Amino acid sequence: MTFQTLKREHPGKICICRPHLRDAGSGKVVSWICLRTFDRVDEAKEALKSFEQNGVTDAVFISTNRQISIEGDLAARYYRVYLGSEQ
Amino acid sequence: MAALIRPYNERCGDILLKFKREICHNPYADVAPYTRMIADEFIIWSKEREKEIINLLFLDLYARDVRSLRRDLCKFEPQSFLSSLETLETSKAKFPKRVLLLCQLYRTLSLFVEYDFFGYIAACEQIGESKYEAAWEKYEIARRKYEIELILLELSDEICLNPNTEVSLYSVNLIELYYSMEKVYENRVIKTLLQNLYAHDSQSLDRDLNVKIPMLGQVNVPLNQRAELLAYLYGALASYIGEDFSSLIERCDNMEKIYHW
Repeated sequence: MTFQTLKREHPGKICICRPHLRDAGSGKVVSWICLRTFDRVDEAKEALKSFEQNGVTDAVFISTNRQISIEGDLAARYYRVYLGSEQ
Repeated sequence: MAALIRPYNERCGDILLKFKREICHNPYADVAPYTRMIADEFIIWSKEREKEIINLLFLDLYARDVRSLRRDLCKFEPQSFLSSLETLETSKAKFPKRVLLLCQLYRTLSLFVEYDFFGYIAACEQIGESKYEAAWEKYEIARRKYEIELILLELSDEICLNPNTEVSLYSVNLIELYYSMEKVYENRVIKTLLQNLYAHDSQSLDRDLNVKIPMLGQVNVPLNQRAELLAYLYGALASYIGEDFSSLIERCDNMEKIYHW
């Protein structure tokens, strides 16, 4: 699902998503597979760790209504993430 | 999400109380906004029900082994699976182990089938007639709205005669109306699943449901084949699931918490 679809389907949530489709030219992610949704950032961060432990190492979290500060190793994952015109 | 967990009668009651207040102020108030509000609620509940049935089918495929289901779902690549399906022509070629899948899901499917599978077998030949389906769906929505409106008009007449009228009875009538609509949505999920697995091949579906599956009985799907069947199930229900696995994974996580506890 695109970022716009995520916003429509999960308004006000923090979604943990895996890349689904990438733009062939730029390699940017343009569509996502939503794995879980949360109301709070700390819950999502915790869940992301559990996904990593289960071998899902390419997931990122995406807030549909606010900016989340991303630091450390996780920040590298956001390279080539494209979240539509709002980003 | 919390709003969805609230019981149906409470949510219907809230709308009816609002409607009652408005009628007490203005007996000629328009019922259309309230009809729309209730119809929208019904659609939200029906969509939730659809998700619930789909989640049940996946859980049943994995015999409630939520950890494996979660793991396989996280690994699953829907795009590459759907692309591989496009290259194949017949439903048999697309889903060669569909009998095994149906066998595993038969018990859950039977819970939602009212009498027998005859209607679903007949519907298998009718796919592609989306024009009629869309028209039928439009008619169904219009009919439900009309029925909701009748209930609201009856309530408004009653309030005009007696401003202390209780809304609870009307709330029950609305919920009964919703349950008849819910059945339509349940059937649609099962129909989509069977139609996609057996597109234009009602004979095979008939044979599998009435001969092969009763012969096979309850089968335990080998662990190494479950991921393949998961892909089939996704392929047949992709129009409902899309790229949103969140509801199913959340269900797995919640069940695991309960088991762990």
